[in-house]
Amino acid sequence: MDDPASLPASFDDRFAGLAAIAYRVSFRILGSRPEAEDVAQETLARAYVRWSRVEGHAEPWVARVAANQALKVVSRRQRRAPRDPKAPADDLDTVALTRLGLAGALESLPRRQREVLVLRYLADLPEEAVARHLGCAVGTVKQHAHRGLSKLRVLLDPGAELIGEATNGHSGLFRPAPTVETKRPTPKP
Amino acid sequence: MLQHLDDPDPFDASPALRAGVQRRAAQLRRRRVSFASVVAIVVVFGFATASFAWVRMRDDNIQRVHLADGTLTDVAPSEPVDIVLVGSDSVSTEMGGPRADVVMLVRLDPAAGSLHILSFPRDLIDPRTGGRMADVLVGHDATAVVDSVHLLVSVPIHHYIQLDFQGFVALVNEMGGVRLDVSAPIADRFTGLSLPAGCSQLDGTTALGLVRSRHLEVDGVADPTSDLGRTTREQAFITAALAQLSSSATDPLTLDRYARILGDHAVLDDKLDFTHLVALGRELRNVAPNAIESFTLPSTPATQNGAAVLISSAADADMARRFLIDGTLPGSSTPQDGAPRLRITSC
Repeated sequence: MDDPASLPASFDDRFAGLAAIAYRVSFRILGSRPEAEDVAQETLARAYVRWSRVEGHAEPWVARVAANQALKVVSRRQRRAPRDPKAPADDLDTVALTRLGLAGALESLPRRQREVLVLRYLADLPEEAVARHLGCAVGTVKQHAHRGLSKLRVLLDPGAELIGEATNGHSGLFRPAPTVETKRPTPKP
Repeated sequence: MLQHLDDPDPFDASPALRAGVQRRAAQLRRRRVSFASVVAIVVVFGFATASFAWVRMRDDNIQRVHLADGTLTDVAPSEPVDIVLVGSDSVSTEMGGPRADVVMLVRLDPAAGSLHILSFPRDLIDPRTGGRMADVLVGHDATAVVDSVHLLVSVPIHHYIQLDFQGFVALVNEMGGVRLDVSAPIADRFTGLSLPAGCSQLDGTTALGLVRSRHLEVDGVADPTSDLGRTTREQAFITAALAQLSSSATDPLTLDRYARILGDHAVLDDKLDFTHLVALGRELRNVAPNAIESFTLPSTPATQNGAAVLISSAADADMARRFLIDGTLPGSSTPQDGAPRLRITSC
């Protein structure tokens, strides 16, 4: 860790996997390749400088930091070019609108619920890993995920109608369950 | 569940990303180091400022008295320091001013690690005023007290400390009391003092009763030594208290409580600032209990205007000066005939 020229073996071995998590999490929020790459780079650099402390739970750590960094980018974007929430969203496609809603919703959730949603649905970590990282029972993770999701749906509701037109009644954030999906055409991402 | 938000193009950790991570990590590490040093500087500076402010605040709280120029002599660090110590009934100016209940001259020799306590009897005639030592403080004149002491023993005096009775009580209580072993049961109907023979823990009020007692009954028999006996009890008490003080804590909080007590109950000369006082306290702690000697200025009974007084001669002053400087005690100083023998020691 003291030699800046080379990464320590344990970090190097997991670099690709961790970078992929960081990129996935931030792209899901940001939807832009250069921005998501920047977030992934920043996140991995931060993991690297405190690697001895991060190593034991690197995947959830990276996912969390990447999500926070990505949300920061979103708010920076909005500060630069504020969007009137009532303005027609013609210039945005459904997925972009979903991302906007997702970022806003994540910001407004209680910390615990946000963490569970980030780890479980943005980083696609299994429930057990999320529970281990947060130091709680799997049941608690399920509970937080459930509550978080339903709040997210409520928070996204104002846009639901608009999105609904384009997405056949789905909020656009969450794909319908597979059984439903067979009956209705999946909205194009 | 959110796969539809994913990048349709595959992502792989490119060498460029690796290089970027390394570059950024080096930057972060430098920043972390400099952040840590900024925090360290802020903490150190803040602590220094806070302690300085604290010392100033405590210092400002303590009553100061300016003695006439030439009364006090400057003293170099680690040189023996001579302090006039006055125990008064009050530091307030109300009710006609304080009276000096106890006047002592103490010499603290940091190099030798010794403490010599010279007491002045209350009824001793003050050669400067012709009145009694007990009345020397009336009028609140610290310069007068130091001048009188100087005239009696002619040693240069460096500092002046005056403490009132409540301050004495508070200091003893702050120490957690003082343990004394008395060889016989003692009582004083005037101060309400009553101690069994053996070791007991004296709180501030009891200790004050002991050092102020002039009508002591030892084992039920009145002690004829009156004020002179009282002086030796004061000295015994101070010796015990100092021996036990060295084992008590000197953390900043304890120091702060002592400083508060001094702020409420003491008057110091204006050359004795708080840092000085703390240094004196530290030197006091280095004094071994067996290096504490006490002595009362010798004197001869006389009568003045029908009142019993004491007068000291030039030879008496020489004896006191010798004692102060090297702790020499003149031959036998047995108590007066028929006086019940009372021994008071630390336990």
